[in-house]
Amino acid sequence: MAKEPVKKTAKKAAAKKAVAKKPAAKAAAPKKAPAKKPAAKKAAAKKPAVKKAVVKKAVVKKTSAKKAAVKKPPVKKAAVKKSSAKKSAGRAKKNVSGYGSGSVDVVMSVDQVAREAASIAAEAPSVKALDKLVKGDAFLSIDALRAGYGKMEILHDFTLRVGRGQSLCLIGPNGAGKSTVLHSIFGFTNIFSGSIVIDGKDVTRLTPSQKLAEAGIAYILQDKSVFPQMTVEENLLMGGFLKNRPAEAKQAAEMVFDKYSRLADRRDKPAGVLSGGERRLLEISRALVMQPQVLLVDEPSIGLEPRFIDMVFEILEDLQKKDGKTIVMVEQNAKKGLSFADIGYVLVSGETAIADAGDALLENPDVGRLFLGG
Amino acid sequence: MNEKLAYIGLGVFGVLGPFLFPDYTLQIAMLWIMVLMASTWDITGGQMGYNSLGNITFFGVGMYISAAVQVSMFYDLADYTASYGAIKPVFTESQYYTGLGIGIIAAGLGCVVTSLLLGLAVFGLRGPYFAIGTLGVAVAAREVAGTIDTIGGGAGISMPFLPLPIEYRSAFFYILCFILAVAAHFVIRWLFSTQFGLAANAIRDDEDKAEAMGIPTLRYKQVGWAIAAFFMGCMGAVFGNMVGYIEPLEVAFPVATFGIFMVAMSLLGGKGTLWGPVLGAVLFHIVKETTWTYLLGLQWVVLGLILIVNIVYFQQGIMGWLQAKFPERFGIVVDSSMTADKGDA
Amino acid sequence: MADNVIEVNNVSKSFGGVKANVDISMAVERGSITGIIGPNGCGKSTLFNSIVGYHPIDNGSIKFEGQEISHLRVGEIARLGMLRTFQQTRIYSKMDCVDNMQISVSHRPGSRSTMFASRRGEIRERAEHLLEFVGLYSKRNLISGDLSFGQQKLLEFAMALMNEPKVLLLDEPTAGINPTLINGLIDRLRRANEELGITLCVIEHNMRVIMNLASHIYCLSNGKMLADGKPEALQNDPRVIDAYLGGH
Repeated sequence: MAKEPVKKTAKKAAAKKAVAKKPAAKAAAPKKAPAKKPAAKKAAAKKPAVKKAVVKKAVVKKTSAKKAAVKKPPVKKAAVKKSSAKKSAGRAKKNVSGYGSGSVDVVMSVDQVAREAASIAAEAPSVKALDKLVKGDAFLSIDALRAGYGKMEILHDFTLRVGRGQSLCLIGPNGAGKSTVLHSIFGFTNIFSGSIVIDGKDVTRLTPSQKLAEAGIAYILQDKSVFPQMTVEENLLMGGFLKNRPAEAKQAAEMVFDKYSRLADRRDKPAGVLSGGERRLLEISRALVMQPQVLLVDEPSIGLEPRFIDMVFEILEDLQKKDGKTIVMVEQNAKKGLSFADIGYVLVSGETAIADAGDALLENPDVGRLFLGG
Repeated sequence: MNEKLAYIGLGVFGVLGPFLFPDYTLQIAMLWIMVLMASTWDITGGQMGYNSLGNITFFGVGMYISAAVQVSMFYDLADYTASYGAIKPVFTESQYYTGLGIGIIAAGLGCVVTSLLLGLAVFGLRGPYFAIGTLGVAVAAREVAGTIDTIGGGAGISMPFLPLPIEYRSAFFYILCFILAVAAHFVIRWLFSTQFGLAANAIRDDEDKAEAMGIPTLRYKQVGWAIAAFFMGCMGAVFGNMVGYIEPLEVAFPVATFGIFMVAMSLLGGKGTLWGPVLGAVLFHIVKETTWTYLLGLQWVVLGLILIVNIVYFQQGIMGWLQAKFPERFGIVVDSSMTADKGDA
Repeated sequence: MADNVIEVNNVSKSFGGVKANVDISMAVERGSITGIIGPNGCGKSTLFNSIVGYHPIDNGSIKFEGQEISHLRVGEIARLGMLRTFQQTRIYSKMDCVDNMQISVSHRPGSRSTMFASRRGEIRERAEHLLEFVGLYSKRNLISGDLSFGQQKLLEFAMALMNEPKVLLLDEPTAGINPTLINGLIDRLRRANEELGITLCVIEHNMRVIMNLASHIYCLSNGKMLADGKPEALQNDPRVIDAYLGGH
């Protein structure tokens, strides 16, 4: 792999350009996610500059700025695989869009991945290393957790640290136990030993309703968890089911409608007719009704079309940065998840193999090869 | 598991039972009848997910077919039944045994045909609708049998007498019941060791998926029910002769009692397993016999309670509970090897 | 003229008042890999369902290998050699993984599996090898309903391959699958296509997947066919960008 160093410098150059251009691009594409077109055109106008600089050897078939504004130019040039890997890595630093781009050439058998991951996991991060990634004090701490379903233990001695208002993304092969971590925090699993502490309080053995009502933890399920026959408003009210009085739930629902006008427009429609992105928005905002401090998000982008993925992550970013929520998520769209989150944990077979800042993991070549698809 | 022990235990009990407890021979015979009923019910019920409340239909139909064959081979059936037992025709030994032999086989095969015909009507139904549909079939059969005078109508048929000394009668029927139950068990055991077993379970777990994968589900349903019908028919024939007098309500089509018992037994022991129905039948029979003897008046309450507790709290039954508690004993383990190649690690 | 294994002509389907598919026409060439993309609710899954006989269509015709199939039912079409996987993964949840695989073997007339065939032997070996491919070999004796979501999806995929159909319709096969394994799945799909000659038709949202897999792509929007063509062309088609990709 003698080409690596060349790639890296090219990457860095591209990355710098990408970073430099990004604020401009981002400003042009504000949170008016619904009204995307004018914003998109502005961003599109800024993008070509970045892309042209990055795409050195690409067979440039399109010359117009508009065409180059398409999200995934590297994939077009499937023949030019190396530059596409470069590009995706370069842009991936802060700006993965949709499902990301790139080639599909890195083919490893599950067995191979597991073996290499196991050797990486042999130098698993120490608790100190995990603490280092946290800004300030750890808000949510998991210690030496052994948990699973029935008699089967999925997580072996799992430790996690995330600070208040930080976001953490769990990635890893299927069946590694990522969703099990979220399930354990919320109380859906069999906890054999270990502890979960939020803001100093031990919440390990609380039931899910207690977790939601008292401990301020909300769980956003993987997919299709709206009540399709009930209206949007009724769905939100269901989010406040545990409130002492229905009036409180109604109040909280109104606050959600104020925040997300897109839902307010459809408040009387049955939730089943919402588009994929709107449904995801409803699922997230329903969880907000109980005003949780911690959001557990299970695969936010699953099944979503590319243009809604970015929207969902913008919403999550808003919740984290503006409202100070602590977010722990599982995301199989690993590039997007890591570009969003402050901290990233790579789980393999129930244990943390690597833990680092989200961006650092994106640039880690081993992580890229084994878990990000190249 | 401890299967060998179970077979030895049951086998010894089965063979020696009548000698050790001669007064209870017929009761132990009933046990084997219950085992067969529960096991055959489970073919379509537990294994395939088609909970039939009408399998008792085949019991009665088989009973009537055999009776009709046994009598009409040598006498006119209509005349025989018209006399309401006043005429007691004599059957020679060879007449009786040939009649019985052919009667049992005819009962079995006749029920296979019956199941195919009934299947045309009920296999379009699913879940609770199938249950009610089959229940309706059983009730209808009972009513119809009560109206056909040739087979005795409401009064029924008096069966030919077994030409053996009275002290051997019980043992004779006991042996027939035992043999049928054992045969049914091993046929079912073989059946579920083949692809049939997989297809049946697939239909239970997700019939639409099975259809979408090209499995001809109707054929499997028909074959499963036909096998159950065959054994139920044969057993019905034997039971009719054992009792000596068959009539539609209590003997041939006991829909509300044995028709439901077979479901309860499978549920209790663990439906969808080979030993579940057997276990359930044994336990159920023991409880039933003891409450009848010692708690007369409360026996229905006890049985009802068992049913309720089973359905509400214990749906997986004994075998299901064991499987959840000790998955390793049932082979549900994570293999340490990652590859199918037996060469490398 | 191309040898089209599937031909959809002017197919329309409504549910109550909702027009799910309006006058859709498309063709899948034998031995090719075709992609279908489009926003959620645009009628992709309805189209799949119409093709495999899940429901009757209101108008139009669907031909499989030149034979009209729009009046046939799911099982009959499956036995002709056309299978589909489900978006909400469907497996036989109370059976273990090997059994799931074994029962997925082809039931077409002339196949080696019969009703009372033994459960040991060649079928089981093939099942185990396919399980190894998707990384489920060590879990093969576990009850499939106990697997994680992603593992169940992999199992469903392996079951489809086990059947060796002529045509395989895949409904979002990579949603929720780890990116590196996605590469492996694409590789296996390509090999199934090239070596076993299985024609593929794939609904996908992950553009990285579909661009690297399909040779021809159809884009639906609002129940109608919006555009179709080669991947590169569609990616730059302004209508597609507008309706689906987003110009972010």
